[in-house]
Amino acid sequence: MTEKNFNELTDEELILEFQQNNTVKAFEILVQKYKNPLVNYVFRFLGNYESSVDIVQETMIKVYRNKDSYKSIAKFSTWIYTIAGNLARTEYQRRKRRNLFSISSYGEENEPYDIPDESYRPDIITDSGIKDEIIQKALLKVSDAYRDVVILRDIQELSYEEIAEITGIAVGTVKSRINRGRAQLQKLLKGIYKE
Amino acid sequence: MLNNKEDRKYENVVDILNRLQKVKVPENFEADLMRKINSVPQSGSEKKPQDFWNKILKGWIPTKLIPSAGLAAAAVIILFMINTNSIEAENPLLSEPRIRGNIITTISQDMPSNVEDALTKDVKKDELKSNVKEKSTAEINKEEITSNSDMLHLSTERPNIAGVDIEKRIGRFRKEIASNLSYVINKSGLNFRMVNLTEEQKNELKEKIKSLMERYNNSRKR
Repeated sequence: MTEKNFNELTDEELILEFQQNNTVKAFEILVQKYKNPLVNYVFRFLGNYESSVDIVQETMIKVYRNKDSYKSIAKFSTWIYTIAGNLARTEYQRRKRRNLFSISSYGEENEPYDIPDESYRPDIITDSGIKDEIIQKALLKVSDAYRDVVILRDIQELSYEEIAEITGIAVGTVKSRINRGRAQLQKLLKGIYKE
Repeated sequence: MLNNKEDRKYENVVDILNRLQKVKVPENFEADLMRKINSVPQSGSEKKPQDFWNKILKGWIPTKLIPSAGLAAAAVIILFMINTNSIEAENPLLSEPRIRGNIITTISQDMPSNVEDALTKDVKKDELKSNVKEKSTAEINKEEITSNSDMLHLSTERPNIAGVDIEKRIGRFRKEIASNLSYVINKSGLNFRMVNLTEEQKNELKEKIKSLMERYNNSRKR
Protein backbone atom coordinates (compact mmCIF):
# COMPACT_ATOMS: atom_id res chain seq x y z
CA MET A 1 0.00 0.00 0.00
CA THR A 2 1.40 3.42 -0.96
CA GLU A 3 1.63 6.47 1.27
CA LYS A 4 -1.14 8.12 -0.72
CA ASN A 5 -3.42 5.22 -0.04
CA PHE A 6 -2.67 5.37 3.70
CA ASN A 7 -3.67 9.01 3.78
CA GLU A 8 -7.02 8.11 2.32
CA LEU A 9 -7.78 5.62 5.08
CA THR A 10 -9.96 6.45 8.05
CA ASP A 11 -8.52 6.39 11.56
CA GLU A 12 -10.13 3.05 12.25
CA GLU A 13 -8.70 1.57 9.08
CA LEU A 14 -5.26 2.91 9.91
CA ILE A 15 -5.20 1.42 13.40
CA LEU A 16 -6.49 -1.84 11.96
CA GLU A 17 -3.64 -1.81 9.45
CA PHE A 18 -1.20 -1.16 12.28
CA GLN A 19 -2.73 -3.93 14.36
CA GLN A 20 -2.81 -6.57 11.65
CA ASN A 21 0.32 -5.82 9.60
CA ASN A 22 2.31 -3.78 12.13
CA THR A 23 2.58 -1.00 9.54
CA VAL A 24 4.46 1.79 11.27
CA LYS A 25 3.48 4.20 8.51
CA ALA A 26 -0.16 3.88 9.53
CA PHE A 27 0.82 4.69 13.10
CA GLU A 28 2.84 7.69 11.96
CA ILE A 29 -0.16 9.07 10.08
CA LEU A 30 -2.28 8.75 13.20
CA VAL A 31 0.40 10.54 15.23
CA GLN A 32 0.53 13.28 12.62
CA LYS A 33 -3.22 13.68 12.75
CA TYR A 34 -3.74 13.66 16.51
CA LYS A 35 -0.59 15.20 17.99
CA ASN A 36 -1.78 18.81 17.85
CA PRO A 37 -5.43 18.34 18.90
CA LEU A 38 -4.26 16.22 21.82
CA VAL A 39 -1.57 18.61 22.99
CA ASN A 40 -4.09 21.45 22.76
CA TYR A 41 -6.60 19.50 24.84
CA VAL A 42 -4.06 18.46 27.49
CA PHE A 43 -2.51 21.90 27.67
CA ARG A 44 -5.88 23.58 28.18
CA PHE A 45 -6.56 21.12 30.98
CA LEU A 46 -3.16 21.23 32.72
CA GLY A 47 -1.85 24.66 31.81
CA ASN A 48 1.70 23.34 31.48
CA TYR A 49 3.15 22.98 28.02
CA GLU A 50 6.10 20.69 28.76
CA SER A 51 3.94 18.28 30.70
CA SER A 52 1.31 18.36 27.97
CA VAL A 53 3.84 17.38 25.31
CA ASP A 54 5.13 14.59 27.53
CA ILE A 55 1.61 13.31 28.11
CA VAL A 56 0.82 13.30 24.40
CA GLN A 57 4.03 11.40 23.72
CA GLU A 58 3.09 8.92 26.41
CA THR A 59 -0.33 8.60 24.83
CA MET A 60 1.22 7.79 21.47
CA ILE A 61 3.57 5.26 23.05
CA LYS A 62 0.59 3.59 24.71
CA VAL A 63 -1.21 3.43 21.38
CA TYR A 64 1.90 1.93 19.80
CA ARG A 65 2.44 -0.68 22.49
CA ASN A 66 -1.20 -1.50 23.21
CA LYS A 67 -2.53 -1.38 19.69
CA ASP A 68 -4.20 -4.75 20.21
CA SER A 69 -6.30 -3.30 23.04
CA TYR A 70 -8.21 -1.19 20.56
CA LYS A 71 -11.54 -2.70 19.59
CA SER A 72 -13.00 -1.66 16.28
CA ILE A 73 -16.43 -1.12 17.85
CA ALA A 74 -15.22 2.23 19.25
CA LYS A 75 -14.10 5.29 17.37
CA PHE A 76 -10.34 5.68 17.32
CA SER A 77 -10.63 9.35 18.26
CA THR A 78 -12.54 8.59 21.45
CA TRP A 79 -10.05 5.84 22.33
CA ILE A 80 -7.02 8.10 21.96
CA TYR A 81 -8.75 11.00 23.74
CA THR A 82 -9.62 8.67 26.61
CA ILE A 83 -6.00 7.64 26.98
CA ALA A 84 -4.76 11.23 26.87
CA GLY A 85 -7.51 12.40 29.24
CA ASN A 86 -6.72 9.71 31.78
CA LEU A 87 -3.02 10.52 31.68
CA ALA A 88 -3.76 14.24 31.97
CA ARG A 89 -6.05 13.72 34.98
CA THR A 90 -3.46 11.47 36.66
CA GLU A 91 -0.76 14.07 36.11
CA TYR A 92 -3.02 16.82 37.38
CA GLN A 93 -3.82 14.89 40.56
CA ARG A 94 -0.16 14.02 41.07
CA ARG A 95 0.89 17.63 40.75
CA LYS A 96 -1.91 18.74 43.00
CA ARG A 97 -0.87 16.28 45.69
CA ARG A 98 2.77 17.21 45.53
CA ASN A 99 1.92 20.86 45.53
CA LEU A 100 4.32 21.44 42.67
CA PHE A 101 1.70 22.57 40.31
CA SER A 102 1.06 26.29 40.47
CA ILE A 103 -2.56 26.06 39.36
CA SER A 104 -3.82 27.81 42.48
CA SER A 105 -1.57 30.75 41.73
CA TYR A 106 -2.78 31.18 38.20
CA GLY A 107 -5.42 33.63 39.29
CA GLU A 108 -2.95 35.81 41.09
CA GLU A 109 -1.08 38.62 39.43
CA ASN A 110 2.67 38.54 38.74
CA GLU A 111 2.69 34.76 38.67
CA PRO A 112 4.62 33.06 35.84
CA TYR A 113 2.57 31.80 32.96
CA ASP A 114 3.74 28.73 31.12
CA ILE A 115 4.51 29.57 27.50
CA PRO A 116 2.89 26.97 25.28
CA ASP A 117 4.11 28.12 21.92
CA GLU A 118 6.64 30.47 20.40
CA SER A 119 3.81 32.77 19.37
CA TYR A 120 3.30 33.41 23.12
CA ARG A 121 6.76 34.86 23.58
CA PRO A 122 6.65 38.29 25.32
CA ASP A 123 8.43 40.02 22.42
CA ILE A 124 5.71 39.00 20.00
CA ILE A 125 2.83 39.13 22.43
CA THR A 126 -0.31 40.58 21.01
CA ASP A 127 -3.67 41.64 22.26
CA SER A 128 -5.05 38.25 21.40
CA GLY A 129 -2.12 36.69 23.25
CA ILE A 130 -3.01 38.56 26.43
CA LYS A 131 -6.60 37.52 26.02
CA ASP A 132 -5.57 33.89 25.62
CA GLU A 133 -3.54 34.08 28.78
CA ILE A 134 -6.48 35.47 30.72
CA ILE A 135 -8.83 32.85 29.30
CA GLN A 136 -6.39 30.08 30.14
CA LYS A 137 -6.11 31.35 33.71
CA ALA A 138 -9.88 31.47 33.99
CA LEU A 139 -10.17 27.98 32.54
CA LEU A 140 -7.80 26.60 35.15
CA LYS A 141 -10.00 28.08 37.86
CA VAL A 142 -12.98 26.03 36.74
CA SER A 143 -13.56 22.74 38.59
CA ASP A 144 -11.66 19.77 37.08
CA ALA A 145 -14.76 17.81 36.10
CA TYR A 146 -16.36 20.81 34.39
CA ARG A 147 -13.14 22.04 32.77
CA ASP A 148 -12.52 18.69 31.10
CA VAL A 149 -15.88 18.55 29.36
CA VAL A 150 -15.90 22.25 28.47
CA ILE A 151 -12.54 21.88 26.72
CA LEU A 152 -13.71 18.79 24.84
CA ARG A 153 -16.88 20.51 23.76
CA ASP A 154 -15.97 24.15 23.12
CA ILE A 155 -12.27 23.89 22.21
CA GLN A 156 -11.95 20.42 20.71
CA GLU A 157 -15.46 20.63 19.29
CA LEU A 158 -16.45 17.04 20.02
CA SER A 159 -20.04 15.87 20.17
CA TYR A 160 -21.82 15.19 23.46
CA GLU A 161 -21.84 11.48 22.65
CA GLU A 162 -18.11 11.41 22.03
CA ILE A 163 -17.48 13.32 25.26
CA ALA A 164 -19.70 10.89 27.15
CA GLU A 165 -17.70 8.01 25.72
CA ILE A 166 -14.35 9.61 26.50
CA THR A 167 -15.21 10.58 30.06
CA GLY A 168 -17.33 7.53 30.78
CA ILE A 169 -20.32 9.49 32.02
CA ALA A 170 -23.88 9.80 30.74
CA VAL A 171 -24.72 12.30 28.00
CA GLY A 172 -27.10 14.14 30.34
CA THR A 173 -24.38 14.53 32.94
CA VAL A 174 -21.99 15.73 30.24
CA LYS A 175 -24.45 18.43 29.20
CA SER A 176 -25.09 19.64 32.73
CA ARG A 177 -21.36 19.69 33.53
CA ILE A 178 -20.63 21.66 30.37
CA ASN A 179 -23.24 24.23 31.30
CA ARG A 180 -21.96 24.54 34.85
CA GLY A 181 -18.44 24.96 33.54
CA ARG A 182 -19.57 27.59 31.09
CA ALA A 183 -21.44 29.43 33.83
CA GLN A 184 -18.28 29.51 35.94
CA LEU A 185 -16.28 30.79 32.99
CA GLN A 186 -18.89 33.41 32.22
CA LYS A 187 -18.42 34.87 35.66
CA LEU A 188 -14.64 34.77 35.38
CA LEU A 189 -14.52 36.28 31.88
CA LYS A 190 -17.05 39.06 32.21
CA GLY A 191 -14.47 41.73 31.35
CA ILE A 192 -13.30 39.97 28.21
CA TYR A 193 -16.42 39.21 26.31
CA LYS A 194 -17.93 42.63 26.89
CA GLU A 195 -15.21 44.11 24.69
CA MET B 1 -21.80 24.32 17.18
CA LEU B 2 -24.50 26.34 18.80
CA ASN B 3 -27.12 23.75 18.22
CA ASN B 4 -29.24 24.01 21.31
CA LYS B 5 -30.70 26.46 23.78
CA GLU B 6 -27.93 26.05 26.34
CA ASP B 7 -25.23 26.66 23.74
CA ARG B 8 -26.90 29.90 22.74
CA LYS B 9 -27.20 30.94 26.38
CA TYR B 10 -23.43 30.82 26.77
CA GLU B 11 -22.71 32.05 23.24
CA ASN B 12 -20.03 34.52 24.36
CA VAL B 13 -18.09 31.96 26.35
CA VAL B 14 -18.29 29.41 23.57
CA ASP B 15 -17.11 31.97 21.07
CA ILE B 16 -14.13 32.98 23.23
CA LEU B 17 -13.09 29.37 23.75
CA ASN B 18 -13.43 28.62 20.02
CA ARG B 19 -11.15 31.50 19.15
CA LEU B 20 -8.41 30.41 21.56
CA GLN B 21 -5.09 29.93 19.85
CA LYS B 22 -4.38 26.28 19.07
CA VAL B 23 -1.36 24.91 20.83
CA LYS B 24 1.01 22.84 18.72
CA VAL B 25 3.63 20.25 19.51
CA PRO B 26 7.33 21.13 19.08
CA GLU B 27 9.02 20.32 15.79
CA ASN B 28 11.02 17.39 17.12
CA PHE B 29 7.95 15.69 18.55
CA GLU B 30 7.92 12.71 16.17
CA ALA B 31 11.67 12.19 16.42
CA ASP B 32 11.47 12.18 20.23
CA LEU B 33 8.52 9.86 20.12
CA MET B 34 10.20 7.30 17.86
CA ARG B 35 13.36 7.50 19.95
CA LYS B 36 11.33 6.77 23.09
CA ILE B 37 9.49 3.92 21.41
CA ASN B 38 12.72 2.33 20.19
CA SER B 39 14.65 2.92 23.40
CA VAL B 40 12.44 0.74 25.56
CA PRO B 41 12.44 -2.88 24.38
CA GLN B 42 8.98 -3.94 23.39
CA SER B 43 7.81 -7.05 25.17
CA GLY B 44 5.53 -8.60 22.57
CA SER B 45 2.26 -6.75 22.44
CA GLU B 46 2.88 -5.71 26.08
CA LYS B 47 0.07 -7.77 27.44
CA LYS B 48 0.12 -7.65 31.18
CA PRO B 49 0.33 -11.11 32.72
CA GLN B 50 -2.94 -11.91 34.37
CA ASP B 51 -2.95 -11.52 38.08
CA PHE B 52 -3.06 -14.72 40.14
CA TRP B 53 -6.33 -13.77 41.84
CA ASN B 54 -7.79 -12.59 38.56
CA LYS B 55 -7.14 -15.99 37.07
CA ILE B 56 -8.78 -17.78 39.97
CA LEU B 57 -11.70 -15.49 40.61
CA LYS B 58 -12.46 -14.51 37.03
CA GLY B 59 -16.09 -15.27 36.34
CA TRP B 60 -16.91 -15.75 40.03
CA ILE B 61 -16.52 -12.26 41.33
CA PRO B 62 -16.68 -8.92 39.47
CA THR B 63 -13.18 -7.59 38.78
CA LYS B 64 -13.68 -4.58 41.01
CA LEU B 65 -14.43 -6.80 44.00
CA ILE B 66 -11.32 -8.99 43.61
CA PRO B 67 -9.13 -6.93 45.99
CA SER B 68 -11.83 -6.95 48.69
CA ALA B 69 -12.41 -10.66 48.18
CA GLY B 70 -8.69 -11.32 48.52
CA LEU B 71 -8.61 -9.26 51.70
CA ALA B 72 -11.55 -11.16 53.14
CA ALA B 73 -9.90 -14.50 52.31
CA ALA B 74 -6.68 -13.36 53.98
CA ALA B 75 -8.64 -12.30 57.07
CA VAL B 76 -10.32 -15.72 57.31
CA ILE B 77 -6.96 -17.50 56.98
CA ILE B 78 -5.45 -15.34 59.72
CA LEU B 79 -8.48 -15.98 61.92
CA PHE B 80 -7.95 -19.74 61.60
CA MET B 81 -4.24 -19.43 62.25
CA ILE B 82 -4.69 -17.33 65.39
CA ASN B 83 -7.59 -19.23 66.91
CA THR B 84 -7.45 -18.38 70.61
CA ASN B 85 -10.22 -20.82 71.59
CA SER B 86 -8.45 -23.84 70.23
CA ILE B 87 -9.06 -27.00 72.30
CA GLU B 88 -5.65 -28.31 71.42
CA ALA B 89 -3.93 -25.41 73.10
CA GLU B 90 -1.88 -26.66 76.04
CA ASN B 91 -2.27 -25.02 79.42
CA PRO B 92 1.28 -24.47 80.67
CA LEU B 93 0.11 -24.62 84.33
CA LEU B 94 -1.36 -28.10 83.88
CA SER B 95 1.37 -29.63 81.80
CA GLU B 96 4.08 -31.80 83.26
CA PRO B 97 7.52 -30.23 83.46
CA ARG B 98 10.00 -31.51 81.00
CA ILE B 99 12.41 -34.13 82.24
CA ARG B 100 15.96 -33.03 81.72
CA GLY B 101 17.56 -36.39 81.14
CA ASN B 102 20.92 -34.93 80.27
CA ILE B 103 21.41 -33.42 83.77
CA ILE B 104 20.48 -36.67 85.54
CA THR B 105 22.85 -38.75 83.47
CA THR B 106 25.65 -36.26 84.07
CA ILE B 107 25.20 -36.50 87.81
CA SER B 108 25.10 -40.28 87.80
CA GLN B 109 28.25 -40.44 85.75
CA ASP B 110 30.32 -37.82 87.52
CA MET B 111 29.42 -38.37 91.15
CA PRO B 112 29.53 -41.35 93.48
CA SER B 113 26.18 -42.90 94.28
CA ASN B 114 26.11 -41.60 97.87
CA VAL B 115 26.47 -38.00 96.68
CA GLU B 116 23.86 -38.56 94.01
CA ASP B 117 21.40 -39.76 96.63
CA ALA B 118 22.16 -36.78 98.77
CA LEU B 119 21.28 -34.42 95.96
CA THR B 120 17.72 -35.63 95.91
CA LYS B 121 17.09 -34.43 99.49
CA ASP B 122 16.66 -30.87 100.77
CA VAL B 123 19.29 -28.34 99.88
CA LYS B 124 20.41 -27.57 103.43
CA LYS B 125 20.35 -31.16 104.51
CA ASP B 126 22.05 -31.96 101.32
CA GLU B 127 24.91 -29.62 102.00
CA LEU B 128 25.36 -30.81 105.60
CA LYS B 129 25.15 -34.46 104.67
CA SER B 130 27.51 -34.12 101.80
CA ASN B 131 30.05 -32.43 104.12
CA VAL B 132 29.70 -35.23 106.66
CA LYS B 133 29.97 -37.87 103.97
CA GLU B 134 32.99 -36.22 102.49
CA LYS B 135 34.63 -36.22 105.88
CA SER B 136 33.78 -39.84 106.47
CA THR B 137 34.94 -40.91 103.05
CA ALA B 138 38.17 -39.00 103.59
CA GLU B 139 38.71 -40.86 106.87
CA ILE B 140 37.96 -44.18 105.23
CA ASN B 141 40.33 -43.32 102.46
CA LYS B 142 43.06 -42.56 104.98
CA GLU B 143 42.50 -45.89 106.71
CA GLU B 144 42.35 -47.74 103.46
CA ILE B 145 45.49 -46.09 102.16
CA THR B 146 47.41 -46.78 105.36
CA SER B 147 46.24 -50.37 105.42
CA ASN B 148 47.10 -50.68 101.80
CA SER B 149 50.59 -49.27 102.35
CA ASP B 150 51.03 -51.61 105.33
CA MET B 151 49.95 -54.44 103.14
CA LEU B 152 52.41 -53.48 100.49
CA HIS B 153 55.09 -53.21 103.11
CA LEU B 154 54.10 -56.67 104.38
CA SER B 155 54.12 -58.13 100.95
CA THR B 156 57.60 -56.81 100.18
CA GLU B 157 59.23 -57.45 103.55
CA ARG B 158 57.66 -60.73 104.41
CA PRO B 159 56.91 -62.61 101.22
CA ASN B 160 57.34 -66.08 102.68
CA ILE B 161 54.85 -65.73 105.56
CA ALA B 162 51.62 -66.00 103.61
CA GLY B 163 53.05 -67.81 100.60
CA VAL B 164 52.46 -67.37 96.86
CA ASP B 165 48.68 -67.56 97.15
CA ILE B 166 48.62 -64.59 99.49
CA GLU B 167 50.84 -62.61 97.14
CA LYS B 168 48.51 -63.21 94.27
CA ARG B 169 45.53 -62.24 96.34
CA ILE B 170 47.30 -59.10 97.58
CA GLY B 171 48.06 -58.15 94.00
CA ARG B 172 44.45 -58.59 93.06
CA PHE B 173 43.41 -56.69 96.14
CA ARG B 174 45.69 -53.83 95.24
CA LYS B 175 44.09 -53.63 91.88
CA GLU B 176 40.63 -53.69 93.36
CA ILE B 177 41.53 -51.10 95.97
CA ALA B 178 43.01 -48.89 93.32
CA SER B 179 39.87 -49.15 91.30
CA ASN B 180 37.73 -48.62 94.40
CA LEU B 181 39.68 -45.56 95.44
CA SER B 182 39.20 -43.95 92.06
CA TYR B 183 35.78 -42.55 92.89
CA VAL B 184 36.86 -40.92 96.16
CA ILE B 185 40.07 -39.35 94.95
CA ASN B 186 39.67 -35.70 94.05
CA LYS B 187 39.68 -35.74 90.32
CA SER B 188 40.95 -32.20 89.79
CA GLY B 189 44.15 -32.25 87.82
CA LEU B 190 44.27 -36.03 87.67
CA ASN B 191 44.11 -38.29 84.74
CA PHE B 192 42.01 -41.09 86.12
CA ARG B 193 39.56 -43.69 85.07
CA MET B 194 36.36 -43.85 87.02
CA VAL B 195 34.71 -47.20 87.59
CA ASN B 196 31.28 -47.40 89.05
CA LEU B 197 30.84 -50.52 91.18
CA THR B 198 27.60 -52.22 91.73
CA GLU B 199 26.36 -52.98 95.22
CA GLU B 200 27.32 -56.61 94.80
CA GLN B 201 30.85 -55.75 93.79
CA LYS B 202 31.14 -53.31 96.67
CA ASN B 203 30.01 -55.93 99.18
CA GLU B 204 32.34 -58.47 97.70
CA LEU B 205 35.20 -56.03 97.95
CA LYS B 206 34.37 -55.17 101.55
CA GLU B 207 34.33 -58.86 102.48
CA LYS B 208 37.64 -59.39 100.81
CA ILE B 209 39.16 -56.44 102.64
CA LYS B 210 37.73 -57.69 105.89
CA SER B 211 39.08 -61.21 105.45
CA LEU B 212 42.45 -59.90 104.35
CA MET B 213 42.67 -57.59 107.35
CA GLU B 214 41.81 -60.49 109.66
CA ARG B 215 44.49 -62.63 108.10
CA TYR B 216 46.92 -59.78 108.34
CA ASN B 217 46.12 -59.23 112.00
CA ASN B 218 46.36 -62.92 112.67
CA SER B 219 49.73 -63.13 111.02
CA ARG B 220 50.98 -60.20 113.07
CA LYS B 221 49.78 -61.82 116.29
CA ARG B 222 51.77 -64.92 115.44
